[in-house]
Amino acid sequence: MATATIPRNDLYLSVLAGRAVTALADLSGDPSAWSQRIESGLRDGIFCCQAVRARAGRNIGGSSSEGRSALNRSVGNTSDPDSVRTDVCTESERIERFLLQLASRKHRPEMPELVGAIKFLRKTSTDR
Amino acid sequence: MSGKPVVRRVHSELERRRFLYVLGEALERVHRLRQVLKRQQVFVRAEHAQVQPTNGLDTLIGYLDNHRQNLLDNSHLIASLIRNRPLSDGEREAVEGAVDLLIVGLLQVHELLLLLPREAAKPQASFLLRDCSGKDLKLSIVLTNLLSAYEYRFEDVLEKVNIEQAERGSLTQGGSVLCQAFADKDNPLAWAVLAHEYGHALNDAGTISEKIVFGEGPEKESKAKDLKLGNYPRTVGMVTDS
Repeated sequence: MATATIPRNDLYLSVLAGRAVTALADLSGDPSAWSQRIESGLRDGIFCCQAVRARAGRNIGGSSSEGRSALNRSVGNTSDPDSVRTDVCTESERIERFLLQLASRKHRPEMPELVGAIKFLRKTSTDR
Repeated sequence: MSGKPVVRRVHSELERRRFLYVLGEALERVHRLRQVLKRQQVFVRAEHAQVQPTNGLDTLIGYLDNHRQNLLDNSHLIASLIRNRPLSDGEREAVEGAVDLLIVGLLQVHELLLLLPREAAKPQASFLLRDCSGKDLKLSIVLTNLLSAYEYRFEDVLEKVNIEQAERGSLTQGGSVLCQAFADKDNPLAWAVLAHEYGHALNDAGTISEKIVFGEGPEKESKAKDLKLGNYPRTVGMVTDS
């Protein structure tokens, strides 16, 4: 069963992502807003990005490329899993930097940035 | 086979109704699932009054509550979306994301119920099926995870893994085994799906759809030949049914 193989830390990704999404939603309504909830939500988002990278790193050694290729063929997925992992790592670093800037109040967020961050957190935490 | 389903673009009112439906389903399941965990907690505490053995259950309830709180923190945005009030792109994405994340947490906890002592299905669910079909039923209802619930009957699984008919025959003496999701145990509205599943057993036993398509008696073979269908595939379960 899928859940049985999920490491315990990864299980909490969706909780962290949920808090970060709530903080980003507050900022989407008012970019100058600030509260304890926003601050802690942004910190949780930073932890979430770091956990996503750690998960991607674990997966590199977690299964053979031959096994992955067979699985990808069976579901018609032609994208290279290694490049997908690199994309996830790069993107998570970018989102983490953005969240850090917001948490330290050095940057006033633009709507596309907020939408991008929410989409990333949602996608990486709901991969099932 | 494509991995991703094609999402049909819809107008805003239909989109709003879809959102309401998904939200309602998720909230219903969260509530039911919490009830299941609370019952397990009471049971374990009663069995082991001297110690504190419910830490695992406390963790699951806490985990579910964290997800529920995340959703509640966005309740003002959810209300705005339901009432068709304007939302920014970020707010809209966040609302959908909050519901999505709640569903993920819900599925994860529901899956873990496989590891806990399993509850029995409600007898009333069997009574409902008996009333629907109007005859004595030969079936069992077992509770299981969301992934396998409502998708198949046990005999079909055995058939697919090449268990011989003779061996399957003895298993079917107890009737059909219907699988229901843990979270749906106390939800009478969800029992209707079991009636649908039991319809497959009735259909197989009485070859009802076969008679409708091919007719009965001598005309059956000629119709089958005309249609070039032969043994048409059986479809079982919510996913494959129309």
